[in-house]
Amino acid sequence: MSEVQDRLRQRVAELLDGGTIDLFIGYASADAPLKTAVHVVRSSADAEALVWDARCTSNLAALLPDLFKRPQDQRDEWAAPRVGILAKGCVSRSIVGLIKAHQVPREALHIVGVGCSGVVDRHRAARLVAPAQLSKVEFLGDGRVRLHATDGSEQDVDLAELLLEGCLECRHPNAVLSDESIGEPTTAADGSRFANVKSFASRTIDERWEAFRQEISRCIRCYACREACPNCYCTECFAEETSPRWIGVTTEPSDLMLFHLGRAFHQAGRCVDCGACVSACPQGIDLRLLTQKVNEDVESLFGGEVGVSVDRLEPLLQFEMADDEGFMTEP
Amino acid sequence: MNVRMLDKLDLPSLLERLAETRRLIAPVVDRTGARFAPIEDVASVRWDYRNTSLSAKGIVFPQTEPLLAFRNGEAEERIPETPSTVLFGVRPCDARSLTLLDAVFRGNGIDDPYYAARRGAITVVALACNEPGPTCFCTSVGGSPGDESGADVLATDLGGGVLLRAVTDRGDALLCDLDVGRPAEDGEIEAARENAAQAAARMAPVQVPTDSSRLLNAFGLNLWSDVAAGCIGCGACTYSCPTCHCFDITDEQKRGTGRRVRSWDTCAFPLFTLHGSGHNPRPAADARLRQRVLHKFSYCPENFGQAFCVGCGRCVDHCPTGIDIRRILARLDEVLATDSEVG
Repeated sequence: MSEVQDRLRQRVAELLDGGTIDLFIGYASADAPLKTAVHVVRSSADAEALVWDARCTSNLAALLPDLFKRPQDQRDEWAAPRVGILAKGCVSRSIVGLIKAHQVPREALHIVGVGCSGVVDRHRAARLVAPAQLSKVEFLGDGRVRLHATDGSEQDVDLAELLLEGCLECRHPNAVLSDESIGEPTTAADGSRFANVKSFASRTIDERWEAFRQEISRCIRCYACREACPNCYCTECFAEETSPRWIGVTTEPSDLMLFHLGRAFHQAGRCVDCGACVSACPQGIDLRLLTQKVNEDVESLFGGEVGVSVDRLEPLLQFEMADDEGFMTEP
Repeated sequence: MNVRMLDKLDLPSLLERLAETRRLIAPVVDRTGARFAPIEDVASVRWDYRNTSLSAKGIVFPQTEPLLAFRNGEAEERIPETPSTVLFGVRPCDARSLTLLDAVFRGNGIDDPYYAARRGAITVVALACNEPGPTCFCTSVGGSPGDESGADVLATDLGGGVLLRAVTDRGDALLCDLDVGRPAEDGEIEAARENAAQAAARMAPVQVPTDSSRLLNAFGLNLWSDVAAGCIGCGACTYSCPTCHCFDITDEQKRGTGRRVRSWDTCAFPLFTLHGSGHNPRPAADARLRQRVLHKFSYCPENFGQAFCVGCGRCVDHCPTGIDIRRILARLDEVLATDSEVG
């Protein structure tokens, strides 16, 4: 892993010094267990802080749309920056979606692809040591991780036990679109998909309603899920529109449910299951259950995965006479 | 003031008696971690938690609070009726944050009736920290693992027993009323002090700028766009913060009937400062993050005489992009100390 990291630092310094890019978006270490910081590199000296490992959970594509918006105080002499970005598989798929949605110009990007073996779900790790907190995490090599807790205890676990659920079902660990790659490609897992949706669907309607109600009741309306998501680039979100006001500002069940259902539906045909919303949520809400449900519907009804090709329109942007319309009457 | 020593085995019966006569709010643990909850079954109370994922501020300043109801032009205020409450096991940082919220909602000639009703009903039994978390920095912002401010009673876990020290008259009355345990011995009081001192020694110090006149000039520094480069504009930092207290007021109505609601708001959202004209005086993340930092460390010291940060580390734990206020403060301190153009 560290060879990839060394190569990354070297390449980013070259790209900046050679004038290929103005800035590079990557990850740097953070002073908290299992966390990394989003790191925007503007000089080759800053490239030394770049890291690449299983703690790199943020979907860096979420930072892109704002970089290509002209600042309100610069009308004439503003030129779009040339942006380098580190892209694991899911990040590259989000970039593909942003290019097709005309949020990011392809020619302004220099995508550095990297093979990903999955990233850690800090909430899963936290649950293993609760009610103490993680004080330190050591990556031991060979897929083993040592968790140190604030009560002085320590335990060794398999890295696979800590990964985001989505990573376990990932079919695109390598960048689907890139200008260059660093390190060896990762082999995709060949397991079943939508395990969580299937297991949830097997419960009774009352159980599902109760589980949904309880899960959503923890939401604090911080919108970390929305802001961490590359798909949420709308200038004005339905959740904050005031005329008309679609939903209230409270944390009462109706407002919370409406927000989360609205958010999930807006992901249909766009979500790449990167897990950034799950990682971002301070309350550890199982947001993936909702997004995977719409992902499964889109795939089973209209076929095709989203964000795998710049040239192909996404399923919900196409129309065929044979398209299933049953969802309108048979939810 | 009473200082009592309680055998740990007697703790459940103490909690039972509290819950019988008062509303008891204490830490419980679910799959998200620890959180404060009203207690019905005292067996669910956790004593061994590090800190709660969210702070205790929602107990005195709820995220959603109806202020009044109206119907056909007639309005009726909704001052909450709060039963006598014991907030049990809150960490010293959160207990201290209540004194800061008091300054906002019950100081400088202001007495917010909604806040006052909730706050006035609460007796705070704080729980000293024996082990700091990896993002704790209370000792760098005027607190400590054994800090008594904001507490009516300070509890310390001494292994086999719990030392309960009354800090205020209200706390003393609570201990007298409960009449639990036995008077503590000097060695036990000393052991509690020693525990807190050791916990404090295990916390990494943070360089916090305190010169308020120089801090006022930090507004114009170049570092803000750099430290906010990763900020995505969510409210995870402010909503988990025990001292952030900004709110919005909204009317919800339907055909002449409705209510006025107060809800948390945050300077991290673009909407927070968006004018009706479409102009936004804080147009980007750097201006918004600067507001959060300077509000805590410059404007609040000017207005209330204290920085509005208790060093709980929650904003560091929860930031989705790894922004760390400890790093920002250290950098600010360094720049203010060396930059001759500032101050």
